Amino acid sequence: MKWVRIILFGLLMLFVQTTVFNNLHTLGVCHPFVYVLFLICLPVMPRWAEQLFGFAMGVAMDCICSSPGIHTAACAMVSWLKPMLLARMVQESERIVGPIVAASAGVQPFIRLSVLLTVLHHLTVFALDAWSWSQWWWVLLEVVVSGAVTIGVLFVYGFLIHRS
Amino acid sequence: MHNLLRLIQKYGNFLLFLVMEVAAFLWLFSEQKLQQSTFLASSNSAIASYNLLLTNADEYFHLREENGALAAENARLRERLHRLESVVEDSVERDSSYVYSHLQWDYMPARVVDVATNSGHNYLVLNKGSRDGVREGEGVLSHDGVVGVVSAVNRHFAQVIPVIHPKMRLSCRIHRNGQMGFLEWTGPSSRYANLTDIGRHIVVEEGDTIETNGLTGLFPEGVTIGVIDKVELPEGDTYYNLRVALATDFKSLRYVQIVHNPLTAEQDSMRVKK
Repeated sequence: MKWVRIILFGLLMLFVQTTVFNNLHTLGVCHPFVYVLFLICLPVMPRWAEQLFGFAMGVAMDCICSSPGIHTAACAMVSWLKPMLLARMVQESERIVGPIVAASAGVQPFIRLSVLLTVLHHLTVFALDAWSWSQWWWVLLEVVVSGAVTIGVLFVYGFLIHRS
Repeated sequence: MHNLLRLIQKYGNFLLFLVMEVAAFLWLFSEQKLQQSTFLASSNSAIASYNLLLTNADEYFHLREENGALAAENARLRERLHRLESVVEDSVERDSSYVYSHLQWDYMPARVVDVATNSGHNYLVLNKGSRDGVREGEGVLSHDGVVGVVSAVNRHFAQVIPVIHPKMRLSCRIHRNGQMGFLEWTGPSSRYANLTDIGRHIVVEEGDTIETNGLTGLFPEGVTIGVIDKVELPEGDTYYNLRVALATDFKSLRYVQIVHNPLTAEQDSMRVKK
């Protein structure tokens, strides 16, 4: 049942990303990837399983968006780094095991983890997408603007989970 | 063997991460060499159907804009029809080859089902393929101007490399004085490209229209590409730096026309002989 819920949550995030956020092209620099919420909020599970979920999400995004391996590389990195960062940021005793655990780890760690992973994810996606450092300023602008929107959505979601 | 197992046990997650990254980068590198791979992935039936579903949903939100654009295009086509009718009438007394040069193009409407406009891998996917008679190397226009060139075709879909692609170099001219140059795109904005090979002895002004010159056989002569938006002439440089505001808005592009020139093969064969 737990796995079914995770898969359904992943499909929902994929649907929201492709129907709503993929169509946001504000000022040409705002391309938020809110599906990263799925990776951040995955519950505690064996690391290999978390990595496989990340890889599957990346491949699905790449196939739908026709971006060759870009999201796969970013998602694989985020899902590998997340358990290590979570272990460093949140004490074992503070972690609450639930369906969406990172969100229930506490507000401060959730914010820190979300910001860090979102920035790393967006930086990887936009840098690989540009495939050249000659436009580094544009890549950074995209990371800042898109990352800010993604983090805003993450906070709203985290706040709702926290309240409930 | 025992050591190998211990290694996997200890660094299994890192090895899995490495395998995933290698797979992702192989995918990315294969795309650098060949644009087809992503196209094949995006045009397989399941993904294409999903993209088509998204496009259908998206269209409902833009019906008003589309109606406006279609009405404007109707007006333009009507005007063009009148012009061609007058050309045909005139030509009865004049030269029939002039008429033929204007009527040789076939236009096939197509819908954009997938688009990427914010990267070094810009492309469009159209809902017309080889089944409909689309062939590689055919030009694509929007009702505003030039879009790009068909780069790959399968049965139901066609991939288009737009003018906002780093590998695209389109021969064109300045409408006012007929000076030839090349349109190139280096990014990052999808609204602007550069016009190159215009020497400093030529008078160029902001607002000059850039259009196709008909030399490639891909597009009819005189189709708008854009307008010169910024003119720079660096001290001691032989050529201008010209920024062109493109007529086509790639971010809101929904309908295009694939241009078929039945004389392309004949024209190309003469080019080879030369």
